[in-house]
Amino acid sequence: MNVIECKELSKVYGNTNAIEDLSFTIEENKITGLIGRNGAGKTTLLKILAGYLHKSTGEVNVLTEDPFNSLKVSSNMIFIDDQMTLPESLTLLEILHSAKMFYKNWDMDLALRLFRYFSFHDNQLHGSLSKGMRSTFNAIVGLSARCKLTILDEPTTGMDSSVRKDFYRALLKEYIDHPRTIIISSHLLNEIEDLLEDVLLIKEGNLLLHKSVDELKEMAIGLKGKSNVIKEIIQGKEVFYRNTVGKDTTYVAVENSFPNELLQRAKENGIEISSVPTDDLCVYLTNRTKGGIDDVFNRN
Amino acid sequence: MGAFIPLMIILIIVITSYTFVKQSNSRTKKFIYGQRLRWMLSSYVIVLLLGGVTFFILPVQDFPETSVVSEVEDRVTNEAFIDNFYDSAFEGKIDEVDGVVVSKHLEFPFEEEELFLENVTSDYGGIMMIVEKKEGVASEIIATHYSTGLYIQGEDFTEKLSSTEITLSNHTLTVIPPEQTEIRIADFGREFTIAQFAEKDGSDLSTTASLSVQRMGHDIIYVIVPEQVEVTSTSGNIHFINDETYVD
Amino acid sequence: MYLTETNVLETTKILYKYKLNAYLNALSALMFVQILALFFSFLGVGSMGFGSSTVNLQVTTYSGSMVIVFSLMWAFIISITMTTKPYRNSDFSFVTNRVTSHLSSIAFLITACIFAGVTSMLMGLLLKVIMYFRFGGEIIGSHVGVTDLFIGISGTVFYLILLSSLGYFVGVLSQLHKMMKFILPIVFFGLLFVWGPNAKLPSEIVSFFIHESSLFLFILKVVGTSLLFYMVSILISNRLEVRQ
Repeated sequence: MNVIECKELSKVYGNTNAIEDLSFTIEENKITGLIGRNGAGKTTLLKILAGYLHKSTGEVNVLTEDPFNSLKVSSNMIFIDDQMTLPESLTLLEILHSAKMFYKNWDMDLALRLFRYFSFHDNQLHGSLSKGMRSTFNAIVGLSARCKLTILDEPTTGMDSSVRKDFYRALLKEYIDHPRTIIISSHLLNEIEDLLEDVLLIKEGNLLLHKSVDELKEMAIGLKGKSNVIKEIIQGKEVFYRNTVGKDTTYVAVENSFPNELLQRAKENGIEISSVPTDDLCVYLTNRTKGGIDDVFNRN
Repeated sequence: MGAFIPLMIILIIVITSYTFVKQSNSRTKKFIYGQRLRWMLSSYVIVLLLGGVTFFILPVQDFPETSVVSEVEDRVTNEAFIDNFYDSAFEGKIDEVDGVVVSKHLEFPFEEEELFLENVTSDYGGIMMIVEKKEGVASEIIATHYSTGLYIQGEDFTEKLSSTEITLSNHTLTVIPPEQTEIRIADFGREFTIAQFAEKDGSDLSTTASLSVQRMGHDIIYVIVPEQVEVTSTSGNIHFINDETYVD
Repeated sequence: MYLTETNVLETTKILYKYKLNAYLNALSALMFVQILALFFSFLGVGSMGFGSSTVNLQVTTYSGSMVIVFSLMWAFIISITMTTKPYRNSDFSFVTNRVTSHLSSIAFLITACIFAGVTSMLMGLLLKVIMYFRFGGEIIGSHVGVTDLFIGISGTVFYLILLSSLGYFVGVLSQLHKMMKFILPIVFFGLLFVWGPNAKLPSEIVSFFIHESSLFLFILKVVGTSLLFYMVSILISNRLEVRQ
């Protein structure tokens, strides 16, 4: 069953397209990472899926329904981000009890254990939490709700690295015990890579790729060697990244479609072959220009 | 009162917005929330309920349930009464008027031939004196303070009025009007949401916007002296009946 | 995880319960407003003086009317507040759609109005008790009977609901577009200016309610008017985006 189906989905704000012609489907019980740079349209997409925003054109179905104004979607979906508005007059404990009323699958035991583990106090107020603590609390709500669709929009904003690691671990354990569809958005892949099954990469509102993490690992290959040799080898191939190191050495990340014997020969010609880390690849893919920040300074 | 209203509106808006509208992600500490808030509201309700109960057990006689007096009728009888009060006084029959109040009654033994009357005027004016020379009265002077009493919205407030001071010494009868009595009364108006829907209540000041103050401030000092006594005075506001010998 | 089922009624009920908890501070705001009104009421809502040579009489009228008027303003303001972004967003942190969000807010507001109606009438009685002791029983005027109290509470509650529905409508209108916050006051004061002080329409609208001496008809009028305000509010904001 497909939990999410989007067909040529677009969202226009005034004159700018926040997202453009997105088509993809997300299957049940998968953890998908939504990766893109700041302003790529991640949050807009997620808010359309959550039913907060209108789509402009195209089609969007969540749990086979248009999410806008759908009670079915709302009751089976939870959207967590650091902007989550919670009433100021309720204590954290009261908020957990309120959430329990709304979500039928809510696990109070889990919520309380996480609550204690991350050393929250019953009578704290949401508004008085620090940014990282607020994100942690929101994440606890997101996990304990056990919704069929859990959307986490940059859930780790402000968390320090040990809390982040704890959170990812908790997420994974929860997912294994109670599989559900989870979308995590982030501008970086590296920390969540081990968690994800699929990656949805968007750039400037457009879908770049939707692949499993394994496919992504195989997608590119890194070659490093004399510039003229590299230039020859990569003819006709898609180059994701090119960087000139030193005087006459070039590193390229290039589409991985070489026959084995060609690679063998290249190795003999002094070309270093490496795999491209997926998070690097994502960075290359989502860069606005080929090349990197160095190119801004290298004007020759 | 009117000048307060804009001020109140501003105050109310500030207070309300301060306590309720503040729903931002600001990290301000709040003191009233959770249990404390519930506790505060419950105490508030309890105080109000106690107030309500107390109101209903207050002595009811102090609240005329409904003293619906037709205003026109009331005023007519009121004026007629006062006319009658003065007319009867001048005819020497004041004690026959129904409803007249005797605030003070004094009898002084008097053997002298001459009486001097002193009617002191206060800041607020004097009090009317009527002097009657009466046959058959011997060796005494009878001074009586008659008043019409004070009725407000049908309620009797006569007791609140203080009486005139009357003294006799060395042929002189002195009448000192009382200090002006300050009477402060609370009028319990009905809230507009009751007045709009409940049956009309004539005693409701806030709806009729007029107060029926009846028989207020009509006083006469009536002095009876033996026929043979010669009465003199330099004060004003003294009237004589049955006496042709009086020289001003 | 398995799919859960829900419906409008059930979700509205949960949201209503949630709001009773979460927005209890609306009632503490009411409390402050009413206490403030009580202090102003100590000055009296009217007074008359009479004097003669022997008596100086001051009659001061006390009633809970000012407490009611303050509560009416409170109802108007919190109803506007309930339509503002933080409050709408807060619903969408949990389970809702626009209809259930509105229905539960309205149910909450009506509950708050009932609370405000009862407390403001009781505050009127408390004021009179205080004045009774301050004046040592020198009291004239009308005694509020139990029947009168119930009439007063009903009348007050429905006045509050009327103001609340108006506030809600104004609030929703001002949420439609950023410019509305400027347009609405301009339109309002513009109309006042165009109509002038002796205009018929506004005074007829006001007298439609305040000159209705039958409580039953008054309630009908208020129910009709506020239903209209609430329904239009729901309709025009049903496409409103949240958490932009």
